Amino acid sequence: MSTRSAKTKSTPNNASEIDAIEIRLQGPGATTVGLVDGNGNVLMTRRVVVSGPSDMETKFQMPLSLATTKGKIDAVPMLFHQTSATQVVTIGGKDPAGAAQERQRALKLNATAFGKIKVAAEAAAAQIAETGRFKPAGL
Amino acid sequence: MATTQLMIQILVEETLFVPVTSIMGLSAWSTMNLNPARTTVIREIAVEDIGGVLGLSMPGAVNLGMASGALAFVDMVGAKSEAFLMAPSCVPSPPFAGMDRIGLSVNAASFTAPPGGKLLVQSLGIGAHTYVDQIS
Repeated sequence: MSTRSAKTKSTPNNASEIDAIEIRLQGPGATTVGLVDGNGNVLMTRRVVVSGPSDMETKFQMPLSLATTKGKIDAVPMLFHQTSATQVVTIGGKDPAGAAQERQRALKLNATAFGKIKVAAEAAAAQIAETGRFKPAGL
Repeated sequence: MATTQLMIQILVEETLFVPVTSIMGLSAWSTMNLNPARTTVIREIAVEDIGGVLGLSMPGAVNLGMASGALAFVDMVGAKSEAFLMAPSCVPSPPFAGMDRIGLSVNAASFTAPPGGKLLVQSLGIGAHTYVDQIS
């Protein structure tokens, strides 16, 4: 197993160079997806709310990295919260847990980083369930 | 004359917690099935956006504010025809026959700061809806 534990940085990219993954939502509901780095920091959240018939399908793109002032930070897309238990979410054609594992393998994140990402996602999910919003500690 | 009223609504919100130099444009596309045996009329298409981007330390410029803006459109496909309609529209469209699938797209621009600059953006949001009548 690799010992690489945290974020991967390189020179900043422009928006067109940032990798992205397609997320599909089958059915209506409010869904929050976050981008978490290997240190367990939530870098961004994206909340998508869709209404319509039960057979509706929604697609959107989620970045897999962010171009920051300190360089590109690679991260893992995590499903934080869903309001509808019947809505089916796939990330890159896989279930959210499988997609997160695949991304962690691609970034060669170790078990410690894996644990931090999982804890961050669970904390975000709890906060969204309670308050409807996510706000990292210290902001 | 029986009318079935349908709708699609989309809201996409992005919140960033780190200073960035580039952000990917928001976009989403929702689709639903139509009954092709009925005539389809798009009663309304609306689009909204909230938030913006502030460019800081821009070379040769004082701080620069940019609205995110949003574009929404409806596309429909049928076995023999297709249609494309843009938002905003608050009057009924002409009737379309034979449409079996409708999609609502909403999109916003991406932003990249020039070298040395950075973007201050905390939250951006775009939303759109369309109301659809299917008439037999």
